[in-house]
Amino acid sequence: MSHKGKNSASSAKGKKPAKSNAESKGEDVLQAVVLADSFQDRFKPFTVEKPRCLLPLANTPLIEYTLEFLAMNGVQEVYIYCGAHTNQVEEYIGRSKWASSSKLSPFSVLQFVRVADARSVGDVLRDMDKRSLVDGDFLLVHGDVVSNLILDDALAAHRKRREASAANIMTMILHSGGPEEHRTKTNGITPVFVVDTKTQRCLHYDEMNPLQSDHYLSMDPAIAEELSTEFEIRADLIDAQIDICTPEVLALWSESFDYELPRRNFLHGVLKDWELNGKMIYAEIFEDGYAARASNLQMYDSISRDILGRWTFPFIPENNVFLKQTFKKHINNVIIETGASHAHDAKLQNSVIGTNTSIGSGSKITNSIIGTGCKIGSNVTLDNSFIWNNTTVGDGTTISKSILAGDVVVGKGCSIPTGSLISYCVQISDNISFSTATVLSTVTSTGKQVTKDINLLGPNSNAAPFFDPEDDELDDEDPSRLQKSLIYSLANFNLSTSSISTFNSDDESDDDNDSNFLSADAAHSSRSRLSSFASDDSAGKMSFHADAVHGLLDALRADSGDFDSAKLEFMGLRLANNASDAMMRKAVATAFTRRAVELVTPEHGGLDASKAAERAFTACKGASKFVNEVGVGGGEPEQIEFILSLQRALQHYSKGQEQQTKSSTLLPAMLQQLYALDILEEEGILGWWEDARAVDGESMAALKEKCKVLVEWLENAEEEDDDDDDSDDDSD
Amino acid sequence: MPHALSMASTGLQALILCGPGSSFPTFTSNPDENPKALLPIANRPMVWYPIDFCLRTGITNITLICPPSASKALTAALNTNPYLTALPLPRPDVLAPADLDQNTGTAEILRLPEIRKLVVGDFVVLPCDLVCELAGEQLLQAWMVKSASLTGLLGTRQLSNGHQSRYSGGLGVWYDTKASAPVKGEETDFISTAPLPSSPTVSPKGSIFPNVSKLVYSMPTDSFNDLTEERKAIPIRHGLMKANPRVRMYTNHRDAHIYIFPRWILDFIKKNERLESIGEDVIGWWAKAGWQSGLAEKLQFGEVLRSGDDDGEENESVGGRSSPTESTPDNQDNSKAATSTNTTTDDKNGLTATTSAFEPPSILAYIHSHKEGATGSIVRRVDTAQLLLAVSLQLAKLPSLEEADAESVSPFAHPRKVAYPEGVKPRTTITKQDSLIGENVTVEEKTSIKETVIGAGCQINEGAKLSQCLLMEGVVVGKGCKLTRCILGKRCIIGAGSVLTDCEVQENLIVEPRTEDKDNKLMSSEGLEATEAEMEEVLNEMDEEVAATGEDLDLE
Repeated sequence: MSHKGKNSASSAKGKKPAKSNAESKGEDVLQAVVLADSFQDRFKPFTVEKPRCLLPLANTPLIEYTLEFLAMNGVQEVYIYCGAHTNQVEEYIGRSKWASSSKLSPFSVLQFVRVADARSVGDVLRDMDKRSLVDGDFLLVHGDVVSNLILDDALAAHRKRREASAANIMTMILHSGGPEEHRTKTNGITPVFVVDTKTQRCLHYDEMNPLQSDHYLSMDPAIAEELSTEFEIRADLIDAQIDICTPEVLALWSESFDYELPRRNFLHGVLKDWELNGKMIYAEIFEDGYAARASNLQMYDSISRDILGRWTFPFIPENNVFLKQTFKKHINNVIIETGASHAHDAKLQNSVIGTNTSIGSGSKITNSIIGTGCKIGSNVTLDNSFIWNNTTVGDGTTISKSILAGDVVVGKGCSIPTGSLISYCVQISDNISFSTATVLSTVTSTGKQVTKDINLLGPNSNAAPFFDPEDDELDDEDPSRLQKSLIYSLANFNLSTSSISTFNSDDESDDDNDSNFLSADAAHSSRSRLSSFASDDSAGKMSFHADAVHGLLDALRADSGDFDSAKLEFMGLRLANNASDAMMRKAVATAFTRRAVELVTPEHGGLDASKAAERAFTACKGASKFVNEVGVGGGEPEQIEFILSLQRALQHYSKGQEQQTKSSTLLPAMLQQLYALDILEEEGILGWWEDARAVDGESMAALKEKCKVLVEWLENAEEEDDDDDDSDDDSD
Repeated sequence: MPHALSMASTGLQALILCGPGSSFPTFTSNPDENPKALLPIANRPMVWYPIDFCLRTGITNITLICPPSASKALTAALNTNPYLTALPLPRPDVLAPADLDQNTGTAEILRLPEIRKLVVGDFVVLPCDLVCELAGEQLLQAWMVKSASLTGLLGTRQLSNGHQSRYSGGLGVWYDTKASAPVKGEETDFISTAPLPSSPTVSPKGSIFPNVSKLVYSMPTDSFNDLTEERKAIPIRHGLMKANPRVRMYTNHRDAHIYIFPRWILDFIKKNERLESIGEDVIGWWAKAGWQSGLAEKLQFGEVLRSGDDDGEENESVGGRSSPTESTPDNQDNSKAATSTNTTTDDKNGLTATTSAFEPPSILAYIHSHKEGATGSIVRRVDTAQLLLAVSLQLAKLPSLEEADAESVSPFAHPRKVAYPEGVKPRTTITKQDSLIGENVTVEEKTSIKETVIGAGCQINEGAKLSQCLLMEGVVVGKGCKLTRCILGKRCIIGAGSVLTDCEVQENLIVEPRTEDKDNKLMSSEGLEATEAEMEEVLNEMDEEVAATGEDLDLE
């Protein structure tokens, strides 16, 4: 981008009243805010150890693409927020050409922003507003953007609009993906933009996903009545979340303290409340060029393919845009860096191979990207896979569509199936085969060393399957589930058939519904659920469970602390979200179960089951009372529900734990404890024992079985009581 | 008139629906004698415009469809009206189906046996109130290239390979109501379109292809507003977005009611008894069937099209159909019955698998964008008095043949702005650029005529001031009248010194001298219309008045 053009653009606004130095500087200098942490965990397990923006994409860390894109568009001042692993990012940048001290750096300022206890993008941007680091137009991008768009025109259009009215605060850069399937369109969640055809003003934003129970987009009627006479609803756009913003955007974030996500919350909310805030957001839609975010593993895969397909020109390996790279293109679209070697009979196709990597004879490598310093043995088959730096793959191993992070050692004759993710430093012994996609890591989601799973991975291993406890807390309808794996598949999900076609699924009752497309239908209004987040209400419901469980868990972990404040907070949450009794019960059961499960793990002292149960329910003053009033709060049916919730929660959290045997005895221990505390009664437990839902699935049944002794004991006690009575009678 | 006389026949038939029509309460109170189709728009009878459009398009097989009661007046007009008789031959036919009355819906018309007999191939449906400057051959070209199937056009089944044969689709035209001379309260339709698959070839220069898209939703704006009010939101089905990720919506456009239909649409309408009007029901449902899974089967597209494949024999099997607008319990029964019939026939033919995947041919929409001042860009429907006035005045602004260059002349240009200059006395003000004065009009001195259309045989007396008015034939405007934005019916008489603003005056009505009125419809009650004698009397009085002032009245 030419700086001349920008200067002339700014001189054109000479008629504006003279401003203070700081502000006029803002007119000239284009700033950028890079969000290198998006507060999502879709790259787990890799991001447990490394930040997302440093993960290699075609052998170059993601952040390089982002910074290169900013430099290309004439950005001069960059503020990076990193969140997790800030030190690693700082260190990396400090050694790179981007460092402020580096002579090569195109940026005059590159500053890291640290925000204490930020929990969402919204928190970061609200903090940015407080610091007033940015004072003019700035680009807001994520640290995982890959794009070659030249934004000159969009920037000029944005400035023009901003001059016309201060209410025009933001311009989004979107890329048209065409009507057909497109590799770089995000799977699962489809963004829908409603844009005025004449002014390009964005009128509405929504998201669609196949898990929604409601299959309507609901737009403000004012859009058709007063805002626009001609608009387009576009679900075919690729949103790389590149925004040109004025500082008012940050102010607006500050005004709305509960917005977390830039699109789903902020954009949707600001557009919805257009009458209230009077702000306008525009969309520039690019037909050519490339823009995408490696926002999840599926996108990571797509973008890697795009790089191989040279769509991202000039950011392709053989251009060696990034420092110290020496890639060269060979026949069959194989791009090899100087220093890499491969046996002559190795078959390579459409792949990238980093320096100092060696590939053994007879190996077959297609559509894969291999980092530097790797050792690929002989007769290895690599297909559609990603191998990061310094990884060793033993002879005769087959890997298809998987990601192997750095320093991984895979033994000989292994077979790694489609969709596997193997995190840093994992070692797999020889001749290990997985039947399904496996996620392996040497650390747990909290960064602690795992207990190695020798049964699965062989004697030389140091890793175990990776489980993310937060997965289970997600609402069934949360579409982020769809983006957690490398392979996009709906097979495991319970789709409501109505979202695909109401017509086929029930022809008669839904007759008027289908036939009238836009008309109201009774079935729907009674369900009264707008699209998943159209109303703040339902958004709250989604987060209620997670928030409540976290709150309770924190209080329980504090152990000796008083439980009253936690209770207050919980009830507040409940009121705010209008949560149902069933939701509260689920949250309470989950929280206590998690605590109990935690207590049996060795890290927390490895208590035995009954001790753990006792501690979970009684360590905090008032906790047992809380469970009694809030969690159970009623007679036999409520008690049955509560036990079921406990059972389900336990089923989730005991998964994959080393102490499976130990934790599985937790259920009877907890029941006994609750019985002892007079929270549960015999009738409740026995009712649950009879309940059909308690054996819903294999593991549920297994858990139930553990309680047999307890139930028998209870039954006997009852009988004994009866006997006693009888004997009393007799004696009379 | 620049008619394409030498153009080869297109093989299409045109149906011009002339009634029922009752949207002009003031002027069509007796629709059998004064049918809407004969009301003058810029001095030409309304029906002249669609006939002219067909002839310009190269369609010569034109049939006017009207209720039996109105056929006499229409036939008479075709034989006597100077504008209609001046049109090139062949003369349009008039068809008056026996069951057509003043309340029949447009789709119901297409269901009438006479029409089914008449239409043998693909056809064009036009309303009588259409003013369309656009060259119809462009529409035909768009339809043939983008929607028609070769096998359908040639009528040869040999070319098709079994079930893969494509069927012709349809095409409709929508125009922006706000683009020129906007009229408050004009009816609009809410429509949604999706782009057609891009073609590898660049569309020819000047073609309308870029404005042609696939119609995915259509509904009158009023119903749409009711719906959004009811649901407090604009509900958009995810199914629509999945089938068409890019949907453009228009709220200010209106259906021009120009449809190019394949023959099978008649069978489709026959099969779906509940469809009442073409614009609302047939088009609306067809558009939706293109993306809503299951709907095409429900509307029996497959059956309609395949039965056409066999030998055109009609299948009279199915009765009740789901209703687009109502959903009564018995309606559900009907649809249940319909589904069961559907499955049985399918099983018989062993086509169950293919039926579900059947995709109906699409209905295309040409979205007309008005270019100010450019010729060939007026597309308008004239179905209210306000529109009649607005469009008449708009047409009056077109340069006449003597003013314009030969190249950019509009097909609607009149030979001269003042057809009979001899009737205009000196010392009158007539703004020629936006007025139109018909044959045999006499204009007395000291009159001022601005932005006004005056029909044949009118008489404007001394001192009258007319501004933005529309005068039909034989109107007499008394001395010193001041009329602003008025529409005067045939042979009405405005008494001297009247001041009328925004008024409509019924035909043959005598307005008392010195009447002052505003925003009113002046109508006589039944039987109170002026008799010939009374009119004679008034005319004589006027003569006397004129004589008294010592000036000769030239009654040509």
